Amino acid sequence: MSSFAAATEDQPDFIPVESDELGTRLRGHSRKQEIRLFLWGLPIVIFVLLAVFGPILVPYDSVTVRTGDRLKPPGSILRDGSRAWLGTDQVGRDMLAQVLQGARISLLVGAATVVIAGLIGMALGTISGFRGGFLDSLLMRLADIQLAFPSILFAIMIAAVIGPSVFNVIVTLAITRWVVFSRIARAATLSTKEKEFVTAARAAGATGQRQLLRHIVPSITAPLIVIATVEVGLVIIAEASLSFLGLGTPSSQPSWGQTIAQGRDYLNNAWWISTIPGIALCLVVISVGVFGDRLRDYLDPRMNKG
Amino acid sequence: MTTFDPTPSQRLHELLRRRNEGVLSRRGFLKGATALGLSLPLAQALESGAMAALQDAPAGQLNIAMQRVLVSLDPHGAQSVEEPTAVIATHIFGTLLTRDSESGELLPSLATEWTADGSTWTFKLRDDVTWQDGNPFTSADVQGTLQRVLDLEGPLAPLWATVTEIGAPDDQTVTITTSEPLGTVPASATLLFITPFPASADEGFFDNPVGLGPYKFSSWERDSQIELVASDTYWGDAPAVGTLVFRDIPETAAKATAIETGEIDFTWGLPADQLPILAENEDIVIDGTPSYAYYFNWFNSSREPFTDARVRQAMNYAIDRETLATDLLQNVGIVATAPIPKTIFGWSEQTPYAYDPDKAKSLLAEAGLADGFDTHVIWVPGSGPQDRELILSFISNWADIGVNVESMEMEQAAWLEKLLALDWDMDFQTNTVRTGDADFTLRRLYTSTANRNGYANPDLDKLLLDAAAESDQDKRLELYAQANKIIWDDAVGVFPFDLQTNYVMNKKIQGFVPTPSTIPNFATVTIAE
Amino acid sequence: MGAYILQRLIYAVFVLWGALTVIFLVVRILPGDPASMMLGAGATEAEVSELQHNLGLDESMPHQYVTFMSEAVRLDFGESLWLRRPVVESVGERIAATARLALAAVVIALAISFPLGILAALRQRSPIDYAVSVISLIGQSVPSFWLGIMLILIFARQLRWLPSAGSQTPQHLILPAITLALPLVGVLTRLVRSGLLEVMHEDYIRTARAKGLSSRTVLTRHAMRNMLIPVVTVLGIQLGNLLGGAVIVETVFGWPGIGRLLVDAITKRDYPLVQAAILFITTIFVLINLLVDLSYIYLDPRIRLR
Repeated sequence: MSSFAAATEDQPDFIPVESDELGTRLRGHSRKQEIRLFLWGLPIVIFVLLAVFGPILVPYDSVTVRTGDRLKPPGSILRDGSRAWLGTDQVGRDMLAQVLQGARISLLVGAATVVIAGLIGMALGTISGFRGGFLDSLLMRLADIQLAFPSILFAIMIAAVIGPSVFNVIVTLAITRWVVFSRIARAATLSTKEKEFVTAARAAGATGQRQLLRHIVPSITAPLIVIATVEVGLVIIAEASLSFLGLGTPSSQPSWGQTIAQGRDYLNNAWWISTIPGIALCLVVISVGVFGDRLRDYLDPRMNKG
Repeated sequence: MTTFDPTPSQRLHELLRRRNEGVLSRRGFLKGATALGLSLPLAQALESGAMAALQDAPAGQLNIAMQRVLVSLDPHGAQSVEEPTAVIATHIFGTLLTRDSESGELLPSLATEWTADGSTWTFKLRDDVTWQDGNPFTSADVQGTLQRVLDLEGPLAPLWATVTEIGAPDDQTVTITTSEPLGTVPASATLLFITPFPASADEGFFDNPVGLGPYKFSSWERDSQIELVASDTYWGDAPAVGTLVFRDIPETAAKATAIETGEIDFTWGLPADQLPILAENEDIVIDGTPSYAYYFNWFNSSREPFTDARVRQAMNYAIDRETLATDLLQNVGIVATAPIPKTIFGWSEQTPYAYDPDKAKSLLAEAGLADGFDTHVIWVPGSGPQDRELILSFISNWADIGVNVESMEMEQAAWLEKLLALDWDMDFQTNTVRTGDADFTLRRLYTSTANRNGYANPDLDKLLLDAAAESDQDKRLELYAQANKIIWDDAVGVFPFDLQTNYVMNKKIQGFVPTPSTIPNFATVTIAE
Repeated sequence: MGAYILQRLIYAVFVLWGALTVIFLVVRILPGDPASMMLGAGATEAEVSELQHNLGLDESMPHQYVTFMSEAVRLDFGESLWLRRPVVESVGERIAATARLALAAVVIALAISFPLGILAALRQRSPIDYAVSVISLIGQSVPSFWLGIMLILIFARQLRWLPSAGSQTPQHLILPAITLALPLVGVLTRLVRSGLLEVMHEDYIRTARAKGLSSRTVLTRHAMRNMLIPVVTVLGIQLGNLLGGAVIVETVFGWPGIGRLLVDAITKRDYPLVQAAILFITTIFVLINLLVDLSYIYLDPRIRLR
């Protein structure tokens, strides 16, 4: 609805800036600032490394269950003499392997959803802002309908129509998340469109497409990257909610959310099943959130002044 | 016009009543009582007695959390076989016959006698029963009820599908005539909750229903709680507990917490792993009983490779039932011995499928599948105790004989559509034999005309139809013994476990009789101090 | 200004129509049909098709759509297939219950996030600021079902301070309201902080300060009003989430709200109930956002000038 204040939606503290292109923003930072930003991003890098290499080192076997070793607390020695560092779940599978595999699934869902939603949102938002007029109104009303519509209905529909899978979870979440990106992209396009260099390019006879590609797209990338960072965390949380409703990833590919949801009945006798992936999830979302804040400050010269 | 002049004793009663209701203050009561000539100490003693009785009154309430949410009070429509609806109906309404919780025998209730003569059953009704609004209970009510069940075409209607005529020759007699003899009429009558005719056809009747049962409807806040109060017109022994409040608590952790903190006094259907924790609590008693419910894992016998009985048997031999029962189903399930639970009329013991992966592999090899095969199983999460744990364990067991099974978790409606369309390889679920009679499950699910799992066997069809038509119950038992053997040996499915229901209650509840139907009855329960 | 209001009204009507159309299509695309759900697993094909006929589900899609739309315009939503009572009654009850919960959550969230956000902004880059930003991130990063269950285990099971689940007394409101409020606290605190920071750098605030106005006056007179714009905008959008998305909190705490009703209705393929529930949620969302748009007239002088 509130399209005029669109940039303030969801992650509203991004302040449109005078400097225009991503390159300009990235340049003009001292080596020290760059290193500091990298340090803020380090926790994310660690999680990504764990997600990529963890399941290779501690392979997750989704099929074999060992019911005799179920609900063993962290550090227990199992019947075959091995040690379950993070305990076992309700069918005796190793929690460490499951949490590492979960990192892979959850981060994949987070990243893929944001990429898809981001690209769709960026395309629609940019076109909407650039063309204006009827197309703009139509697209933004579509976004309003999407926002007004309980996303749970889409989730159930997709799960019911094509069954549970990681891919379907990504599709569901992407459908409910593109609006955020489209609004930001639109607002950024609108403000860039009026900038002198674009007006100049237009006066020099540049076609619409060239203007879009050359000037506008690069200039809206920075705000979208900031939003995307934060959205990754929110998407991972949203996936956990879907799992609670039984609409998450399948048992053979458990995300963190799935493990948390399945373990919730055991919180009073086997807290580790739900709590360990819960803490992991929490840490990732916080790392991504903090990094998003720093990235915004980094890309926004005015904040550096303050 | 006569004037009514109350005696002093009546006046005193009136004073006590008003004090009890809180209309009258302590001082007001003492003043009134001494005015009637009572000594002050006597009046004080009476007052404290009256107030003690008042304090007893709240103790006359039981807070109960059901397994699932109550949707409708209509015991004939779409929700008629749903457990929450049946629980409330058991207390508000009443049936012609009931089943003894322990022996499984049919007992008289609203009907005192029932006899069969060819295709006609005759029920004699009690003549001392009135509805909670004061109207007399007659055969017209039974007639109207059964007609309503047939008209609404709900899940109960198939039980009565062959009924051709419902007669009411006099106020205390009902006759039910079927197109061919039907031996299951008495068993089905235990599910036929009688509602007043024609009142039950009124719009909104089931928002404030009138029944014949030990309790009457008081209030209902949907998805939150329903309150019933003891009926003063009940024909049987008056219930001891004044108020029953059934609350809706969907989440397990909340429900387990509520019974521990005393927010609720009674619940059932908690996950197996919660029971040992609750058993440690001194205030809580757990009363378990074998139920009418059981697990099955059907094969679609019309689909390759399950068209081959050897493959189906191999899948049975692959499952380590004993270990799973010990590890996963402590207190909630036992290894099944027939395609229907032991609690059911018509049960007969079968030769167990011992855990034998080698035999399973050789059966697969005989069937030309030495390298195993890929298949899938459809199921709805939340369908029974430890369902996810069990299906994961089955898949693990099957992987050991080279069969790769994909677990297809589905949403209820989508699952139902696939199930009915026979669009599946395997189907894993719980099932409940509502009437406690084998016919309810076997004839409904295993005849080739029902075609629910792709299995077709003319011998089985004949046995099941004959058993339904037979009114000699011993002969029915013999027929079901043969039917069970065919279903079991031909491995129409894996029949792994019979389920047990655990009623979890505060120790103050006394006299509760566990029911195999998972429809607890509170009419005989008392509350200890 | 009149034109602005008119435009917003037209948008609102368009969004409502769009949402109605989407619901109509979505429920009919879902596999499974109301008739077989009503009859259960034992029904024959003939029984199912007879019931479909009685429910008018065997008509052509355009015909059903016209019927549906004309009934919706007359506010006639019919009877729930599953609850067997007028859908308006069910939906009305549930919306009221959810509204109580959502309102309590918003009040809690505002009461926490304003002081925190202002504190963080006034002490920018101090340890307090970092602490606040981590706290608000934690609020956003915990899956609400996990949080809800933990609150039950702590406050009901261990401490016995509050009831576990239900909606019978005012005490029953506390835990679910907190659970629902916490993610909102995260969003709002960050908004308040950045909104205030942004405003504090604006020229007019600097001028006000230079003129010698005390910090307090500057804060209340000038900054607050500007800060409210993003807060009001986000609250408007979040209310949609609170209404349709409270399903998880409602399930955990056994709260008889619209979210649970909607999910049950979808599960049962109760078309009239799904349609009416979503229409109500959407209408409330649209109305609130209309109010939000209109509130800009008061909050943002630029609109008044248009």
